[in-house]
Amino acid sequence: MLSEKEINHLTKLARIELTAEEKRQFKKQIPEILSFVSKLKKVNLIHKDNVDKNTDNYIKLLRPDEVINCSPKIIESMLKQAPLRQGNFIKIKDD
Amino acid sequence: MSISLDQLTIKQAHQGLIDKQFSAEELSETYFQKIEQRDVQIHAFLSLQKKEALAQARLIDQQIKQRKEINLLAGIPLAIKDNILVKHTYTTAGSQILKNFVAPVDATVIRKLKEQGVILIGKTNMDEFAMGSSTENSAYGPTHNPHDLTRVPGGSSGGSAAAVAGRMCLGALGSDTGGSIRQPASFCGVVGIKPTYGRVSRYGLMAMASSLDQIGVLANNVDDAAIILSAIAGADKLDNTSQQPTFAINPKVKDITHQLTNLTIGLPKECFSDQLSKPIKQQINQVVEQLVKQGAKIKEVNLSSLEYALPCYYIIMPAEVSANLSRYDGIRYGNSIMEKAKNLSEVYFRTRGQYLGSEAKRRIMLGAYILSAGYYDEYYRQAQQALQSIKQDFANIFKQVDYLITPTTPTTAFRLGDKIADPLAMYLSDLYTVSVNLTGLPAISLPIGNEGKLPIGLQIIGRHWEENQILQLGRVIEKLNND
Repeated sequence: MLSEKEINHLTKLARIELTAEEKRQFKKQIPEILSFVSKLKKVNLIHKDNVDKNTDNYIKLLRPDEVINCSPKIIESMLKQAPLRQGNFIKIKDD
Repeated sequence: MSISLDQLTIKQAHQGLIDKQFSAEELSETYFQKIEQRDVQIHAFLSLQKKEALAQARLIDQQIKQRKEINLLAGIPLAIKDNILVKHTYTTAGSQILKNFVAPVDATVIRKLKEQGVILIGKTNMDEFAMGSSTENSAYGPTHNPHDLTRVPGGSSGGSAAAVAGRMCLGALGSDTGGSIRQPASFCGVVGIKPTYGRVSRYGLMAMASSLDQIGVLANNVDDAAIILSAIAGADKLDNTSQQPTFAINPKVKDITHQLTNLTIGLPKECFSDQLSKPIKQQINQVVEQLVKQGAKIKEVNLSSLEYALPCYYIIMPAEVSANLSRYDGIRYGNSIMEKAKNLSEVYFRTRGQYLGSEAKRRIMLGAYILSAGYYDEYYRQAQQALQSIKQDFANIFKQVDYLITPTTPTTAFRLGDKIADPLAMYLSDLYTVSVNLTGLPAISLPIGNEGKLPIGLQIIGRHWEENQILQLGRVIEKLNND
C-alpha cells in the first residue's frame, strides 16, 4: 500500500488530480505492479556496464534543434486547437 | 451478382475493379452497408468518413473508365486505428481528452496510402492512447469480438482487428507497442504483422512509448498484409528512427513450400509451459508436425529471458508514457478546463484528472514513480540492463534458427469485464508479444484454428528486417491450414 503522502507526491509529479476512489485503487495497484516488475532484481544479468550506450544511440538519432518552416495554413490549424490564444501565440493562465 | 464483395482478397478486388465487374464506389458502398448492419453490435469504428470515401472511390472509377493504370491498392477500402492522424478528421486515440481534436496533417503512412488511391473508410476503436489489451479502456465504450459478442476483441488495436474480422473493411492499420496488433489479430482470427522497429515511419502516430511503438497491418490473409505493409514501409525524414533497409517488403509473397528443408524453426521451451492453454498448445503442435512433414527442421531452444520480458516492459513503457503523455496538458489542444481554472497548475491537474482514463493515469503515475529521484537506478537502469540481456538472448537464438514459432497469446479471447478490474492480469496477455517490441524484431500472428468459436493465433518471429521471410513462412502455414 502507498501512504497518503506517497500517493499525493505521485499525483504532483504526474500533474493529475485524482478522485477519492481512484486514489484508493492506485494506492493498492501501483505497489502490486511495482512488486511484479521487481522480479528483475532477482535476475542475473549480463551487460551490467553497457547500458548508457543504448541511450547514446537514441541521442544520435535526434535531429538538430532548429526551427523548420511551416505553412501559415498549418500554423493556423494548430493554433485553432488551443483553448486560449493571442495572435500567433498560445496563451496560458498565470500561476 | 455471384461474387460476394465482402469476401474478396485485395488482388481479387483489384482484378474486379479493372475488369469492371464492380465499381470502386460499389465496393466501398458494400463495406459501409456492412458496417451499418454489423457495427451496432461490434462497435469497431469511432468515426466514418463516408462522404470523403465515396468521393475518392468515384475518382478511382473515373481513372478506370479512362483506362488509366491503377495501383493495386487503388479503390481498396481500409480502416485506420484512431491514434493515426488523418488530415481534417477527428482523431481521438480513444481518449476524452482528444474528443474534438481534428488532425491538422496526415501521418506519413496515410500520405502513402492516399498516394496509392486507398479509400479510407473510418477510424477504429482502441484502448485509450493504445494502453490496454481489450479495448475496454476506450473512453467511447468497448469493441466486441465478432466471433462472440460477449468476448473482447483484444487490444489495443481491437477496433481494427474486429473491423477486419467482421468483414467491414479489406484491411486496417494498427499500432503495436507490446502486442497491440498481434494480440487482437489472434483474438479475432485475422493476420497481424508488427514490422521491424524503423521499417515504418511513426510520424503522425500518437506516441505512447516511442522506443517500442511501430505501425503495422491487420488483414484477412498473408498476401493482403504484405501488400499493405509494402505500401506504408520506408524511411521518412520526419521520423529519424525510420530506416531504408537493404531488403524492401515484397508485396508478392514468394511460395517457399518446397524450400522448407533449408530452414530451421526454433520453438522456445519457455513459451509452451503451463501458462499456455492446452488447446492452443495442441494446435500449434499440429502446425509444427505439418511443417516437419514438409521437411522443415525443428529445434527446441531456450528463451530464458522470457520470464523478465514483461517486468522489463512494464518499466520502460510507463517511463516513456509518462513523458509522452505530458503533452496532454489542457494548454495546446484537446479538451481543457482552461476557462474554469484559477491558475496554471489547476489547468494541468484538473484537465488531466477529468479527461484521462484510469489506465492512462495509472501508467503515467507508475512512470513518474519509476523515474523519480531515488528510484531511477532501482527500476529504469535495471530495466535497461535487462533489455540488453533480452537482445543478447534473441541474437544467440537467431544464430541457431531462422525463425521462432510461439503462441501469440496464453489464452483465447476472454470475456468483457473479466480483467478490467485487475491490471496485472490484463498485462499478462502480452506475455509472448512484448519481447518482440523490446528487441525491435518483426513478428506476425496468424489464425491457425479455433477453440469452440474462438480463434487461436500462432506467432512467427524473424530476424531484423526479415519481414519477407516471416510472411513467406506465414503463407506456407496458411496454405497448409486451408488445404
